[in-house]
Amino acid sequence: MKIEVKNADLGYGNEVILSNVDFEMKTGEVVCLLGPNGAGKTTLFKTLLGFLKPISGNIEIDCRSVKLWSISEFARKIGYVPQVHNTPFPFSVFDIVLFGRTAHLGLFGSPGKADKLIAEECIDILGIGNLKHRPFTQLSGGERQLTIIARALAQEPAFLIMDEPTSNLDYGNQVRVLKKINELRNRSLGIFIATHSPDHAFLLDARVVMICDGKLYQNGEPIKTITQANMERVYGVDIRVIDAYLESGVDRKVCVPVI
Amino acid sequence: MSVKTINFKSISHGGLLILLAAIILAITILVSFSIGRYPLKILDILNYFLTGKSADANIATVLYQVRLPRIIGAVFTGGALSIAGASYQSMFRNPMVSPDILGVTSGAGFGASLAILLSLNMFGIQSLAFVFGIAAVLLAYGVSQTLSQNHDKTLMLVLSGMVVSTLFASLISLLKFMADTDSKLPSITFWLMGSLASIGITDLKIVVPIVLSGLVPLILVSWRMNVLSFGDEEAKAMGIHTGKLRVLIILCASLVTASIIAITGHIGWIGLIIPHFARLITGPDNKVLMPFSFFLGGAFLLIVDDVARSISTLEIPLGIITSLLGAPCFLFFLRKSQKRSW
Repeated sequence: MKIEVKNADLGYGNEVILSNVDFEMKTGEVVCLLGPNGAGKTTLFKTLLGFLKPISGNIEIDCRSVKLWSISEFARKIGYVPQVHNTPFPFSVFDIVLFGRTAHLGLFGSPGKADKLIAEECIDILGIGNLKHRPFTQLSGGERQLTIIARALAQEPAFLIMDEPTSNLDYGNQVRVLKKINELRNRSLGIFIATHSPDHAFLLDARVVMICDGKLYQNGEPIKTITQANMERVYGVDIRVIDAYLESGVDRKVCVPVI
Repeated sequence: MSVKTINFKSISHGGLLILLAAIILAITILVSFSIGRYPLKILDILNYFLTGKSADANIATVLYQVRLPRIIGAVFTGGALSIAGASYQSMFRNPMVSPDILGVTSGAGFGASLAILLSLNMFGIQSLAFVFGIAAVLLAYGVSQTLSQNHDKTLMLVLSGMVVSTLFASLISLLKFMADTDSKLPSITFWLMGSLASIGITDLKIVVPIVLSGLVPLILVSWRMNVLSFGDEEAKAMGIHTGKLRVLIILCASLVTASIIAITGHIGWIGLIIPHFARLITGPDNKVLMPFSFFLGGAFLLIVDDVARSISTLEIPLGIITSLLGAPCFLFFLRKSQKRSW
């Protein structure tokens, strides 16, 4: 399955923020979206999630224009992992993961046995079984983020769209969440992540989509796209990309800002 | 840890709480039947209900003509306002919201005051109260829709509701200012204070079906209301048509509140405190919270009404007692709820 953005102008109302966007993503892929603040990452996100309509051009999921998808059909294909935040009501982790089943229920329906089993499974995948009955409001940021990822998985989507899933997390939790994302990759799930850290693309071995100056600027492997020149161009600062040699013999690129 | 037992446990826990609240309400109803100017023994009442016979010749009249309408009225008023409040609290993602938030109370108050000023009969007062109550909400919703192109929809709804409430409140003051101080001003004032004294079986025959037609959909969408608590965008991403759901909740809650207010006048606090208090006991799941709030709200208002009609020979307006009881209760729960981290 794939999502295609075809020659689209994206933005709010009539104000174009990203123009001429051509972009495609398949299940099985991990894609990192990089770009400075205000470049239009959120705009692209909201469009892919169906919150914003493209000003011109077309977006297709499975070769069918998103205009034809109902909200619940859409939610069965695309799961959303927003930035961590709190809720006013102390729902338990299990309840919240179960919310992910909503797209599979009728208007007056509520989740049944099968839905609860799926929620259990998703909780196990994320390894948060010990939190199951804890109120969401009392969890740490990292635990909340894992809960929200489990909720999105419970939708059984073909694509996960994550909005800076590691922002507001401490360093340990950032690594933990990235590890989980790495574990989630499989042939039937496409993962699209907006991030402020180019290193994430190396860590996740993800395809990179870079936006800059209202356009899609780069699209390709991290080694080819995350370069000193491109970083300078996109973020306006001097960033060196160097090789890091790990004990395990695996080497990896690392971004090092020059201050 | 088998899945089955956990699910079974969680279901039965909620069910048990609902059952408990229903039993409390049933006991309150029974006790309320016995309280009044013509005291009856609970055993006599039970005996009469079970066998249809009683040594007291007046028992049928007292129970069915005098007390039953009032008890049904109190239960439905308390219960329905609590469910409307619980729905709005979920929808606005704020446990401090009451059913008045979109202006239904001020609208209804204006309608009733206008009808009193125009010397309409009881039915006229109730109809205008209902119509203006609904009209106020529609106005608030309409205003919020035109304003919310680029703003947060929920926030705009709250603000429009505030504006509409204020507007109708000033119109009520205007009508009071114009009203004849000997007869009409007191009537308006009393109406605004709320009372169950004038509820008759004929009112209930019209109002109860309307209230039920609003309550049933609200209870049916209670699962979706849970999901709404994460906000519009996330609820949408989970497959909920938030715009439609919001309209459904607003329509049903307004229908319920406006029809209740039309026959009782303004009864505040119930719709704010009961769901809030209920949530402390049941947790936030609306599937348990909504029915629980209904029974709890019904029992609470019934007790308040028993106090109102028996504390002195002169009946005390209900709105006064709910507020007098409600304000300290609310502060107490607020203090408690801080510990539970909303």
